[in-house]
Parts: sequence; C-alpha cells; structure tokens
Amino acid sequence: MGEAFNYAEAFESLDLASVKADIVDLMTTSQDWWPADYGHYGPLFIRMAWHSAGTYRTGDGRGGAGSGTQRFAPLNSWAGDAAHVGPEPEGAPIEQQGLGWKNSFGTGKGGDTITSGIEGAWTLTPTTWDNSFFDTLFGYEWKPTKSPAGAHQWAPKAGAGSDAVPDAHDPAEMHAPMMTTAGRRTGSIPNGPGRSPPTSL
Amino acid sequence: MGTEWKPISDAGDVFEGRDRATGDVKWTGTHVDLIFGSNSQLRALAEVHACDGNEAAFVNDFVAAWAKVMDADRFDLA
Repeated sequence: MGEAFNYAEAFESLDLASVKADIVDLMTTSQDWWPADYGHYGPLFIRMAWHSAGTYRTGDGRGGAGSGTQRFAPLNSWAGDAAHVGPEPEGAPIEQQGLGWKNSFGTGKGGDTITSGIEGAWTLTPTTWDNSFFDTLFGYEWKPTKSPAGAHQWAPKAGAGSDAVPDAHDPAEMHAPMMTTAGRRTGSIPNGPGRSPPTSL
Repeated sequence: MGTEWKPISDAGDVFEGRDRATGDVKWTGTHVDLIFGSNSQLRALAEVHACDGNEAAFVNDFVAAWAKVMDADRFDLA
C-alpha cells in the first residue's frame, strides 16, 4: 500500500460484525475441491495460524504470523517426502504452484488426504471450542499404537470409545479418539514405558 | 481453487482454466498470465493491486516500475 495508507484508520472503518459473519460463512461452506473435515474449516485455520506463528525466529525477530511470510518461498515448500505426493509448490509445474502439494492417491482430498501420517481426532467435538480434549485425555486409559500410515500414536485400551468420534467426512461412521505423544505431553502425562520423550511439540 | 488449470499446447505455454464443478472452460491464458497467480510473491503483489480502490496505486506503481526498467541503461541520467 502507498505511504498515505493508514492501517489503523482503515481497520477502524471496518464493520467487524459483518467481517466476522463473512469469515464464519467461509469456514462453514465446505468446498467440493477440498472438503472440510467435520464440515468446518475452523480447525484447519487454527493449525495454520499455529504453524504461521511458529515461523517466528527469536534470533532476529524475522518471520512470525504478523507478516504472513508462510505464504512465501522457502517456507511455503517446507515438508517431508511422502509417496503419492507431488513436488513442493515452488518446484511444481506453473499451474500447480500456490496450491500446496498435489496428491495422486485416490481422490487426493477428503479421506484420501496425505498429511503427517498421524490420524484421528483427540476430541469428541472437533469443531466446538470446549474442554472435550481434557475429558478425552483423562477419560480413557491409553496404549501406544500405530496409525494406518505407520505413525506412532495412542489409542484407548481394550477398544474403548470405538464409537465416540464422528468421521471427518462421513457422519454415519464413528471412530475411537486418539492422542499423540505431543498431546499427552500437553496433559502432563508421563511417556509410556520404552518411549523416548518428545523433543518438541 | 474453483478453477483447474491445465496446459493445452505441446510447448506447455498455453493453458485453459476449467470450473472444477461444471468442467466448463472459464479462462484461457499463457504461462506469463499464470505466473501472477502461482508465484507466491507475485501473487501477493497482484492481490494488493487488484483490491477495489487500488486502481490509482496500480497505475502509479506500474508507471514507476516501467520507468525504472526503461531507464536502467540510461547511465547519462544518473
């Protein structure tokens, strides 16, 4: 924006109630080309905000959420390798850049999405701001297991809670909740026997 | 994301953009057009200039950039 642009003044001129209504509408309108988990993009936005804030570098104060630098190279292309997943956005063909990693597995979206390999929900109410995470954490005894992709995570013992969490895309299908080692650490639960402590969240 | 772009020329420099829902062709363009949507830095600049009310800012910035490039070999001006 030009030198005459006053951010605070422009912000004051906004009708915040209608901005908020627009955002709610955006978050709850699931798009066919990237179906929202549980019909709500809110949790995705929160994860993105967390990662955006995580780009802050204490050494020189660069990065962070304030300037949204996660949009730009090289941060927009930081990730591990995975089967079925195309080149990083900055190295992808021009028509695929800026849209994340192209996934050739199945439909490439919804239930076929490829992420970290950790799978499941650690709250019974994934789109509600509540204490369900702690109810879930303390409501079950947990044992180490592996996700369908082979990632280490935790499941309720003895098959408990197998119908507690709705599927992210099919409300008729139910699953058991899960925890990651990072999630258990948040709840101050010691690591299970034989498991090394997490090095980061 | 509502538009899916695919190359339609052998050289891969001409594209068509189809509506993901209907499959209808909505746009055609070259790689020079697409770079403003796909490259992250150009995308950010293009979004600012495409905002309602930023028509004058676009013209001013375009003129400044154009003059800078055109004058880049005019060492007599420095």
